[in-house]
Amino acid sequence: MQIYLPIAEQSLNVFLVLGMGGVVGFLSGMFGVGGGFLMTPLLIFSGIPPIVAVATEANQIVASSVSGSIAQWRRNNVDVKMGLVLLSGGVVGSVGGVQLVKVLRELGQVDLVISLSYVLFLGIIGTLMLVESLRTVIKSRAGQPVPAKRPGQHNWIHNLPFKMRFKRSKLYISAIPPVLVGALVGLLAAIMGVGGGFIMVPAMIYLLRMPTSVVVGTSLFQIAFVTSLVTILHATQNQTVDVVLALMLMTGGVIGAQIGAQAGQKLKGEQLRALLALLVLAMCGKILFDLVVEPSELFTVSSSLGGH
Amino acid sequence: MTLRNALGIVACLAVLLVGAGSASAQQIEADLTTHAINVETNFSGAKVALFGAVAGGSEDEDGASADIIIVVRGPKDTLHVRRKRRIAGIWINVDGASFRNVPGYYTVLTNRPIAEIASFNTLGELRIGVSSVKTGLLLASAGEARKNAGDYIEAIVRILGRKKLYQETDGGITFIGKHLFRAEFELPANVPLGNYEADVYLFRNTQLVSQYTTRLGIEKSGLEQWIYSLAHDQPLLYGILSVLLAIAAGMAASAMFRKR
Repeated sequence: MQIYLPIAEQSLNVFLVLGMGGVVGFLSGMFGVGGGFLMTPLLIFSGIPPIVAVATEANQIVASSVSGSIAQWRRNNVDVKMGLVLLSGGVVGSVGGVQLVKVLRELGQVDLVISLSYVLFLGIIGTLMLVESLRTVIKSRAGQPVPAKRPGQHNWIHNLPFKMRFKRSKLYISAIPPVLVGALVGLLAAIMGVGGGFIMVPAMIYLLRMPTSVVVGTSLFQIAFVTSLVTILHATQNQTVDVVLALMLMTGGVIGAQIGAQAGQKLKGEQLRALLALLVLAMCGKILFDLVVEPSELFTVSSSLGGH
Repeated sequence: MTLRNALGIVACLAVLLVGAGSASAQQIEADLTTHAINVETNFSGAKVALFGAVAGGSEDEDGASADIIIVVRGPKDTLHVRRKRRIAGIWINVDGASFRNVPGYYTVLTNRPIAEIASFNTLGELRIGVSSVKTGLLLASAGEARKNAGDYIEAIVRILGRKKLYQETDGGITFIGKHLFRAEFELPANVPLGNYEADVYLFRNTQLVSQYTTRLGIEKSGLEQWIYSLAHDQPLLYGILSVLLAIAAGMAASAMFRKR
C-alpha cells in the first residue's frame, strides 16, 4: 500500500515507513538512544531527499523526546536551570544550522554536508560504542568487576568565568561549557535531524560532571525544545517538514519503543550494544561507500527540492 | 476502466457524427478519458487513455494511410543540473547549469515507427520528439552555460527518462476499426503537477494534415492539497502545527506507557 507524501512529493510504502519507525523505535527503547541518527540515514536510503529527511526527523524527535521528558519529569530527573542554559546555546546553534542548510542548498552542497556529517559522527559513535562494549564483555568474562569511572574533583572548567549554581545537579560551574554544548547540539539537530543525546549525555557526564540521575532527563528536556525550534525553522526557511511522513514514523516509533523497552529488560545488554555499534558502523560504511564509489550517474537534476 | 473506455468510445462516436459535416476543416478529433487527475494520499501514478477519430478513416480513397502522433507535454519548470567530480576521493557536485522552461513530462506515442510517419525535418519544425526538446533547450541556453549545455541536456533527458517522465515509444496507438483509435500513456507517482497538453497530429503521406489539442490538469486535492498549501503559504503556522501534533503524540504515548 503506497502513501503519497505531500512535501517529499513522492509515494512510499506505508508498511516500509511504519516498519522503519518500529525498528528504530525498538532499538531506541532497548538502548535508550534517540534514534534520529539511525532514522535519518534510513529515510535517505529509501529515496527521501536528505533535506526533507532531516527536517521531518526533527519533527518526529519532538514526539519521542516529549514522551521521554514527561517520564523523567515525574521522577524529578530534570535539572530545569541546566536545561535552560543548554537551550540558550541550542537556540543559537539551531538558528545558525538552519540558515547554513539554506545556503548550502542554494549551492547544491547540502546532501554532501549531511552525508559527511553522518560519516563523521556515526564513525565516532560506532567505534566508541564497540570499543566500550567489547571491553566490558571481555572484563566480565575474565571475572573482573567493571569499575565505574570516578569523576575527578577539578578540571579546567572550574577556572572559567560566569559561574552559576545548579541546585538539582549540585554543581557550581561556569555557564560557558553548557552553552557551547547546547549550541553544538542545536547545530547538529538542524543539519543532521538528530536530538544530539549521543553528544550531550557524554558531555554532561564527563565534561560538566553532572550526576547521572539527571543527565538523561535534562538532555531530553533540552532536545524537546531544540527539535521543536528546528522543526519550525525548517518549515519556515526551507518548507521541508513532511508532517504525513513524520506522523507515520511517530506511530511506528511509539509501538517499537514500547516493545524495545520491555525486551531491553530481559536481554543481556553488552552483546546487544556491540551489535548496535556494528549496525551504526555499517550505516557509516554505506554512506561513505556512496560518497567514494563512482556513481553510475554523475549528473543530478533538481527542481525546487534537493532531490529528483 | 472498461466503463471509461466504453464512455470514451461513445464520446468519440458523437464527435465523429457531429464532425462529419465539417470533415474537411477538422480531420482528427480526440478526447482524454479524464481531464483532471487528483493527487491524493493513495496516489501511486495513473494511466490515462485517449480516444479519437479520424475523418476518412485509417486509409482514405487514395490509399494514403492515416498516421498519428500524440505528444503529451507537462508543465514547464526551471531545472538545475549538477555534475559530480572526484575531489579528494569523494564525488562532489562541482559544476552545473540551470535551464528554464523545461517540460517536466514529455511522452510521444505513435501508431507505427515515427521515422516512417514523417521526416526528421518535419518533426523538428513541428517540435515533435525528445530531440526537439533538446534542440529547444540548446538554443535557449546562453553564455557560459552553453559550453557544456549538450552534456547537461543529455543528462536531463536521460534522468527524466529513467523516471518515466520522458518517454518516446514507437507504438502505443492502436486503431479500433477504420475511424477510431485508442492510446494510453502513463503518469508515474512523481509526475509534476500542473497543466498538461496532449497534441494529436494526423499525418498522411508524411505530411501533417490536421492537429487537435486536448488538455489535462494534475492537481493535489483533499488533505494533500491542504497540507501542501499550508506548508508553502503559511509556513510558520504549518511549523507550529507540526510541532503541536508531535507534542500531542508524545503526550499520548506517555499516557499509554503509564497505564501499562
